[in-house]
Amino acid sequence: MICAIDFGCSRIRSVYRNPQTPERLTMYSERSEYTLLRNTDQHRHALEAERVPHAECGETLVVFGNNAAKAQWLSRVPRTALLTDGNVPSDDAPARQMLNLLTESILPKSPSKNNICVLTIPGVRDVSSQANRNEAFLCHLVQMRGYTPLVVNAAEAALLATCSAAAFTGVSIVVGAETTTVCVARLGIVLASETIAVGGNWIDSEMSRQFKVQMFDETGNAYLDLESIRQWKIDASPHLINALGDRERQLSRLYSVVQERIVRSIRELTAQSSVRASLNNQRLSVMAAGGAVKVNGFADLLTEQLIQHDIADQILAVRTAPDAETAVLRGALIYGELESSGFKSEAAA
Amino acid sequence: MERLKSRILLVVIGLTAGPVLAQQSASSPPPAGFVAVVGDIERCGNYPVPGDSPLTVRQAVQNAGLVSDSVNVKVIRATQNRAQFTQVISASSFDNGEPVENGDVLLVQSMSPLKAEVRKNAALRTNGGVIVVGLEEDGIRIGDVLLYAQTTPPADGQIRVISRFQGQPPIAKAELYTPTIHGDVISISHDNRRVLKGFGNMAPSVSEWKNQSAALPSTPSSATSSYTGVDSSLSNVPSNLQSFELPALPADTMFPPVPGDDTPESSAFASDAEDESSTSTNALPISQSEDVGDIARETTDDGKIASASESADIAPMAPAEIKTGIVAATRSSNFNLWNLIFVGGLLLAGTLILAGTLRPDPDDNGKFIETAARESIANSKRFNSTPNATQTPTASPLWQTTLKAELPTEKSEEFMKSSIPSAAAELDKSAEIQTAAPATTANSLVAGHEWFGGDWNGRVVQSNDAPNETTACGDSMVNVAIPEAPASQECLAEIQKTETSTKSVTEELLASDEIVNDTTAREIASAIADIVASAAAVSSADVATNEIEDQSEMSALEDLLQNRLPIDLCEAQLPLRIALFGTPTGPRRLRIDAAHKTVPAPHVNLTADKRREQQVTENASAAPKQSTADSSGGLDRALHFLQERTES
Repeated sequence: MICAIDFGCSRIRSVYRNPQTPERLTMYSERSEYTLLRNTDQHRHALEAERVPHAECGETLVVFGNNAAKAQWLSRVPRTALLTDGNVPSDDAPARQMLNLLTESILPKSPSKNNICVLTIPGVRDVSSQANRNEAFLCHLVQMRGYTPLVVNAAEAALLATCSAAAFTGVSIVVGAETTTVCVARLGIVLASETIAVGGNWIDSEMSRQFKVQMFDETGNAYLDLESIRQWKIDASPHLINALGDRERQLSRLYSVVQERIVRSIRELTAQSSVRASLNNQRLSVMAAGGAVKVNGFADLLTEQLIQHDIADQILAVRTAPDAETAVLRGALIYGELESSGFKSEAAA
Repeated sequence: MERLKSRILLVVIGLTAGPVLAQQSASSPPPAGFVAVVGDIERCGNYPVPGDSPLTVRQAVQNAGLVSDSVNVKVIRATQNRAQFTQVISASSFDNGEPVENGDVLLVQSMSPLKAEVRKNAALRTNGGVIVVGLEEDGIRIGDVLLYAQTTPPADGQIRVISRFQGQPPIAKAELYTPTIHGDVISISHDNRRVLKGFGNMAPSVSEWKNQSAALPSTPSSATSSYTGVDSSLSNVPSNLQSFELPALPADTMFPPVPGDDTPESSAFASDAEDESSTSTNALPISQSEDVGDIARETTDDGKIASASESADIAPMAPAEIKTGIVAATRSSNFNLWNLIFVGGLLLAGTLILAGTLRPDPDDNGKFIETAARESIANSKRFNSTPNATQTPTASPLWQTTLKAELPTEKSEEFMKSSIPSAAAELDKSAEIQTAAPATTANSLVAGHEWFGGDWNGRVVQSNDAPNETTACGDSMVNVAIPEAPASQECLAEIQKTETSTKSVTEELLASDEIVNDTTAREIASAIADIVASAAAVSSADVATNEIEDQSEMSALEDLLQNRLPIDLCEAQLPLRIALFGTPTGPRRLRIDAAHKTVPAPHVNLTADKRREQQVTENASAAPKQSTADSSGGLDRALHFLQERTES
């Protein structure tokens, strides 16, 4: 069995082909965050009356996954990310246990041996010990469900999912919640890639900080209210090119900062000698995926940035993925099926 | 209506194909749809999407005629209300193969100075299709466009200008009096599911809009002369007929010149049609993809353009003027030498490709590129990403390596034949198997999509056509890598037979004292044993099963790549109540200001009040002193009074 799981800082998703109906995909999507509640009888009764799954952690009650949003009204504290800053928290033992529970619940039971699970690792993937710890921990979670873990770059997965029309050649950008991954590929082979430690959460945080969108708990602590910013982006549907009002203009400026960094990364990647030799002056299609690219005018603003950085002559087209949020997950499943066919060939040999 | 008559000249260019497409449509299957090209383009309009081959964005824009060196194209899909992606097209750029789809709107914006004058235009996207309108002058409003397009204004908030040129914001809720500018893509949707708040429809009806527009001051226009056949009494005509009585723009200004259209017959025909459209009351119909049949029936009543309807079932249906062009193009295409050369070239290229003597350039074929990419991805991941893959290659490369390293020399063959009688025949068989081995190896190394020259094809075909049984076994080995050729049970039996006999040969070889010391013979024997073992490992049933599995896997993978698989979103089942170890940290990162442990003194407190009261008290206590001062002042005044009186 082949399945894919995307450990995102906003959501954890998994997808696999239903064994009974292979022509359909089964997907699970859970928020990778939890809500803290006071451990009182009233809170417990409220949760049990609504049959909301929860956990007890000493003096607090914890509701995680999609239920965290449902129980948010019982708390005045904003929800906590399970993967803070894109890393598996080393000082939050309940968060690690919740990651395990979520992984167990969204991965199907392995029916037989030789099961493959392709996963994406959040955060900046470098040679640091933190990155290695992240990968080891998440791979271990997958192995505990009976799967052989295969790690794939998020940008590479998005490339497989969205760039079939471009012969899997071009620049793939995945703007996630905490990080942005950029890769340059030719015919499906990744020539160079880079992960930038900035994503959609940084934009929301800056918006919340600059416009003082805050919330206060019972004791008077002030928190950034990112959820209100996200809801505003959904309701107001701002446009990055034709921004109206201070908020939209500020949002456009913040996106410009992120895109400027992305374009600088593209410029550096394409300037590498090995990449230039492989591409041979071939113009590239730019495909953007990830939840943060769903804002209106993202492709137009990125085009402007490419022009400003004098690399527009290397670009053929700029577009956003139709399924921006699930493109990485689908690409990971494609990666797994390709790997599976390779394994079958080896086994047959 | 007066204003409408005097200020606008809307030309509906429905379903107008370029001349090249019109020529091709005579021999090609019916179009799969239409794509609208508007903006800074020479010939805006609706272009048919061929049903047999995909039309790319670049081709569609080039068919419409580029008027500048470099343009930026926004591609707006039919199901979306914004540009899905942009594409820069210039003379030096090559085609990325991005196909257009039915209902697409391509908004072309020039990025460099225009080389030719562009007629202003806009697109109106309705539930029935896309209508391309030409804007004669500025100030034409959306209501004018809707009125002319005979489209009922929808409810409030359902008119949107979904895309404009860069620098101009789209309008989420456009009104009927919103001006339409060059390059606008207007979208209306008669969505009855929208629940209107309040009473009635806030959007004015056609009649209301008409009255409002008539009340507006009209400006003189040069296009007024085009409306000589229409008078102000049109307001009394039923509204559903009004738009059909609007005259059309002369075809030569909006529609592409037809190459090869200088034949007297076609030009005369065109001029007749133009005269007819300009002098008679033949109205310009609203052409949409769904209204094609009606338009065809209406225009067929006219005898002069009846022949146009014959090709209209394939070519795009168009107004009278456009049909004239199409007819002229169709007629001229019969005598066009370039068409014959083009078709001949296609036939020649197809023949060469089928004959296997021409290897296509991968950049010329989108499907080929896709298939090649998938194969290369599969191969690369198989051999690169998996650490064990490089160490455990497939059987065929191993086999080939073994054969290359340990192929028996002529000397050793002669030695074996002379030493073991039964080995002679087996060596012949093994030699034939080895003859087939390169083909097997080659097919395993070569992707299925790849086309080769006659050498490769000839070798494979030759091995398939070999009559004897041993060659048939070789065929079965070849068929392992060639999914098209089914293996038979005879081949399997032959493989088993060969395996058995070869085992005996090997045993004889190994048992022979004379040969035991000869390491070469040992290697030969082991090589033969490996060959037969690997061949016997693959049975014909497995081959057939693998074929089916491979095909189904490829089709499933293709569906996954194209995002065609429906997704069932399920809800995870979490335990209702559990206990977790540890203490959660909470949203520390989001905390920007901790609560103050000690409450600071308020700005208005009792101390200040006391201080104020004290000051008041002091003032009160000082008041007698003040009175003393006042008294002293009074004394001064008294003294001063006395002094003045003394002086006086």
